[in-house]
Amino acid sequence: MHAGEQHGSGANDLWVVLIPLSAFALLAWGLTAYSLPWTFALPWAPSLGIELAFHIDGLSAQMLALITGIGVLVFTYACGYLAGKPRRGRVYFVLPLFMLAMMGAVSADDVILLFLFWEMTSITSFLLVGFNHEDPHARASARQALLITMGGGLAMLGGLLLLAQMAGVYTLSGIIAAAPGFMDDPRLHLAITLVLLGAFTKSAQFPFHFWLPNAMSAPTPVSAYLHSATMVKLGIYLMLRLDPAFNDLLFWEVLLVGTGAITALWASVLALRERDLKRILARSTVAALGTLTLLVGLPSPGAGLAAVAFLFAHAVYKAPLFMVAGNIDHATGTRIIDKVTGLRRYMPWSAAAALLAGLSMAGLPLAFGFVSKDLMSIAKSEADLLALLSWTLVLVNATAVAVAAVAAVRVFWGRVETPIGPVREVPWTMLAPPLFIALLGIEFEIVPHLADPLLIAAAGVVSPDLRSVEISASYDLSTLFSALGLTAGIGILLYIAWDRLHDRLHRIHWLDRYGPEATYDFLLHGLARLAAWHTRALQHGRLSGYLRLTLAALIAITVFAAWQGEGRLTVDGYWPDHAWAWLVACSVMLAGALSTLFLQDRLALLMASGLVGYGAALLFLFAGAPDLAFTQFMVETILVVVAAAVLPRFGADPYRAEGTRWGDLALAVAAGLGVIALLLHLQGFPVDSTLPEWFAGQALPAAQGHNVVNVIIVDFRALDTLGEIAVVAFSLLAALPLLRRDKGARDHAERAGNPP
Amino acid sequence: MTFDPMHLIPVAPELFLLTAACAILVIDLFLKDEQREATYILAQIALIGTASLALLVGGGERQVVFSGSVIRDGMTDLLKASICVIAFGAFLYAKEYLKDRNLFKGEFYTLGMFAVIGMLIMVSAGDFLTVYLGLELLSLSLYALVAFDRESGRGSEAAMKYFVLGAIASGMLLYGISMIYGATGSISFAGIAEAIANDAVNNTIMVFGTVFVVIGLAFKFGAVPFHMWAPDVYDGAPTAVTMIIASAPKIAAVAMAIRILGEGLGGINADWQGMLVILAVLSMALGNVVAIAQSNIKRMLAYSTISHVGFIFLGLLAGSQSGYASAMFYAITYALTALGAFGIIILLSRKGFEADRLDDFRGLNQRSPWFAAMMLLLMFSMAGVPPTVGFFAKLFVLEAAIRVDLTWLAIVAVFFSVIGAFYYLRIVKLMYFDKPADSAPLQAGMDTQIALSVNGLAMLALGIYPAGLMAWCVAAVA
Repeated sequence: MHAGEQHGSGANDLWVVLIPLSAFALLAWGLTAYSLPWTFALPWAPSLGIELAFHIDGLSAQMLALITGIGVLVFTYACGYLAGKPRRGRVYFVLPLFMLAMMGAVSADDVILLFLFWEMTSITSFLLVGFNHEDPHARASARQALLITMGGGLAMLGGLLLLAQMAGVYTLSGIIAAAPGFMDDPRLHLAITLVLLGAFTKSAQFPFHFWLPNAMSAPTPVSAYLHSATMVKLGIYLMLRLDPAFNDLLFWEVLLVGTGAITALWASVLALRERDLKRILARSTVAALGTLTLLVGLPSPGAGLAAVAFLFAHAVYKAPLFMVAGNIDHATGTRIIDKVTGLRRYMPWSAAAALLAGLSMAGLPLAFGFVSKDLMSIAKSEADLLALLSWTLVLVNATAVAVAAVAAVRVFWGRVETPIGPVREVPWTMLAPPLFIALLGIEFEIVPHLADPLLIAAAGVVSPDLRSVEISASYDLSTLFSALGLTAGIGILLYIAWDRLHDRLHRIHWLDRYGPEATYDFLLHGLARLAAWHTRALQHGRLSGYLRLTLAALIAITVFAAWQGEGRLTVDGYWPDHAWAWLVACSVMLAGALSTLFLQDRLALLMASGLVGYGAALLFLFAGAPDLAFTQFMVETILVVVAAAVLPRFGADPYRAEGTRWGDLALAVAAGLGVIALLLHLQGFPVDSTLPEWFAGQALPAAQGHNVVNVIIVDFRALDTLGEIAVVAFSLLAALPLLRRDKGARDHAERAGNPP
Repeated sequence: MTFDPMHLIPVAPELFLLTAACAILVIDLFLKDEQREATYILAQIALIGTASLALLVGGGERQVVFSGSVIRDGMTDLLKASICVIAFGAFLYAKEYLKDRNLFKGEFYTLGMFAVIGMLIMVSAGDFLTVYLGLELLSLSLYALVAFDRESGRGSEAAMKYFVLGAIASGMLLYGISMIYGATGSISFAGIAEAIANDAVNNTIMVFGTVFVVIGLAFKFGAVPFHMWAPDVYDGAPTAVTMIIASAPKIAAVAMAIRILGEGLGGINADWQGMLVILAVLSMALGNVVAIAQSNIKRMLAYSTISHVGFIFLGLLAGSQSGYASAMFYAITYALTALGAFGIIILLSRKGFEADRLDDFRGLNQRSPWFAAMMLLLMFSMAGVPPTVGFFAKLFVLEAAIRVDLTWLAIVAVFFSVIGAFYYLRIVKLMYFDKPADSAPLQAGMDTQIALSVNGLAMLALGIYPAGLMAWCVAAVA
């Protein structure tokens, strides 16, 4: 929307808020009336042991509270943001679906059910990100987000199925309970890697982080809800959920801490390269997600609590910041931080909300009070590594401070330069939600114990050994304030140097050329190129090429089978009775086959191929199968005659040999040699002789005939013979119209003359 | 062999359909062009009758009749009924397409019915001879159907390619059968299994025989590297025929594979498992990757079929009861999905216009939100997106592979299905995010519209409640 263009508050659409509101009320009522955990299960696909199993414990309840609570505010905000836009009905339809999918994902116990809801969040987010579908960038990023998260989700499914296989149950709770039993399973590392692929892609961890900033082309309420508060936390949720099972596993720790640290640092650096306010916020969200992954990976129980607390805190300060960015966009038509300064005069309420949220973002290290003491105590033994981690955290948090300053101070309190146009404050539906959440966040930051009951319930799931007493004991103020000071100091320095750092970083072009995103693009295009090449090179539509490939594959597979087979090539040849006849028959066939290579006239080709058939018939005749020989003679004759009658109607002969084709020659020789080898090979084995013996034995007593062949044809297989004769007769009848050329040609002319 | 009339009961569906097809063939001769509708209605009644008969004579103990050539068991009941239902849908969708193109002739339906008889025979075959007869009846009917539009050069070319390559495949299959017969002295699957169990076979001949039989099977399935006919035939044939080729024969092929590989050669599972693994990986890889480059939706669906065949092989090669059940589930639901997808293509086509380019799907949501939603469900199901049935089909197959410790193969399959999602979603993107290039309203009779809606919604319904069909499949192979 452009500057000054206002579409009212969208209060007419506010009924949609009832959906998250009623869910939130239901949850609140449930939490007060019934104690956690709640479980229930219904049979679903019993043949596989899959059921509709839900298990809601402290962790799930915390996520549910976030999803529904923030949902209320985001839905309200969306009414104002989308007021007057066409197709907003689609958002109002998909957003609740997304919310349901999220609620299902965090309360599912069955792994299949979890996957189902997990993918549903990906698909609904695809539809939401692609909302502005006139914009090709929005479409591309919607697809990118979907491909990456859905691919990760499928990998996760593989991992979960493996875990279920090892544990023997399909529920998460069952897998966690059975985990100590399969710690030595060789497939464990593979399963964990696969599950983490799902979590990492969903939570935008390095090297899959790039989809999140790109997804910022989504409408702002969607970004605030999906890309900061809820969906991207799903991966973190899954890691938290599985943490009790794999907490002691070094593989799990290293993977989580390593990926988390790299993600956090990398995203912080990249945040400095952006000038779009929303993308800056997205980068800092990635950094926060990295920090969360790192925290989950740390083995201390305090880390679990810190992760849960941070997860909650991040949602309550990042969502309002996104909303404020949306307000700026809505009011001025741009989100580039160089173009908007001093907006506080025009948008005082947005400025207030931004300031509150920014304060709570900068005060973030408070949440780390929980973990700091643990870190210090472990640090004595593994000082170097953890010192590195601590510095990483300080740097990441400092960037967070700088980002908060940019979002809250720079755009609102900077020098007033020439305004872009008449800028007015946004309607109340877009102001109340960020203000409300930001106030909540401040309260939570200053008095962290307010949210204690929920946090402790959630942390208790992650670290079952944790007692509430330990929580307050581990909260250490003195180390906290020193950390806070350091972070704030570096953060302010970063803020002051923002423009210079930005210029410096922006000039490093290889970041764009070789990053994971470039790899993604390269692979995507590579795939398309590969597919196009295949179509050109192999699926060209020429039958001769297909035959070539088929023959080559045949030879390859047969050779493979022969090579694998146990038998050796044993030649146990014998000299047949009528050797001269065999030779003649084979020469006829060979002559026919070779002539097809050199002849160009169609009729001559037909004759040559008929020669092959006659040769075969001759062979049958002397190999003791006269019935077969007669059939062969008959079929071959009819074929040649009928084909010869039809062929001249096709007009000029388009067939031309393309010179010597050495590849075809090689293929033909290989196929021929292969068949010879196979036959020689088979010759060495005794063939089942039940039938010949039976026919020979029964010919005289049962059929009163001395000639076994005759008896077979007219007696034992009389019906077969009758059938064969009938088939030949029928095919002749069918060929009759073809042979009556003149009539056919006249018919054709008639049809051409009078089109239907 | 003594003849017992009771032996005819298990083959009653085939006999009924054969009689009906012959009768309809003759009746059709006496109909005028404007009465052609009668042929269609009779054919549909024949299919419904066959399906009902299959279920009526079905149930209960496994019956083996005609000296072991014909089997009737849970598998035949389920698969015969599904084949008839799919063919019913194909005939229904095809009607208006054929009318618009002057192809509404009795031959389409009689050839189609003969193809169905071939499939039914393949399903109930108890020996190699019967299975081959069924296969050839199916194949020959299909070759003729592909060239059904005699004015179309592309159709004739496709039919020629199909025929030549199909004949080679049949030759391979027969060659393999003869070797297996030589090694075991039997052509009935039970007899072969017994010979293998008694260790009374010549291993080398057996291995070669199996290799050739598997190659023949791979051809008929359209598995890589024996897939070359598929894209050209799918593209060249009239869409109504492509719809038949792409759907029901896959069910029959699975039945054939289960009978041959499971019931006959189950004892030498290790010998054919490796081959099937290679074929499955190649099919999933090539099918999914190459589909991306297609701008023609019929060709795209051909490659998609190839990749789905890879998944079906995944279930088959597990060689376990659950593997066969999952392959069967996959084939049935895939046939239903393919039927619906081609139904939508036919819905978008009209007189003088073939909606066979991907671009024809642009902005379908604005032209008809309801059928765009149906296509969305069908594409999601093909891509394996939950909660559509395609997801469960993939899940059951992967599960079967993991159960026999082929985890790496399951992961490969997952990887390629991610790539696969790419091109199915491209259609979704075109329908929902692009502007329509063509604003002509969709024309379709009420029957087609209802059938397509049922077909699309079935993707969702079977996905939400997969237990029923799955239990049936499990019972069928037990």
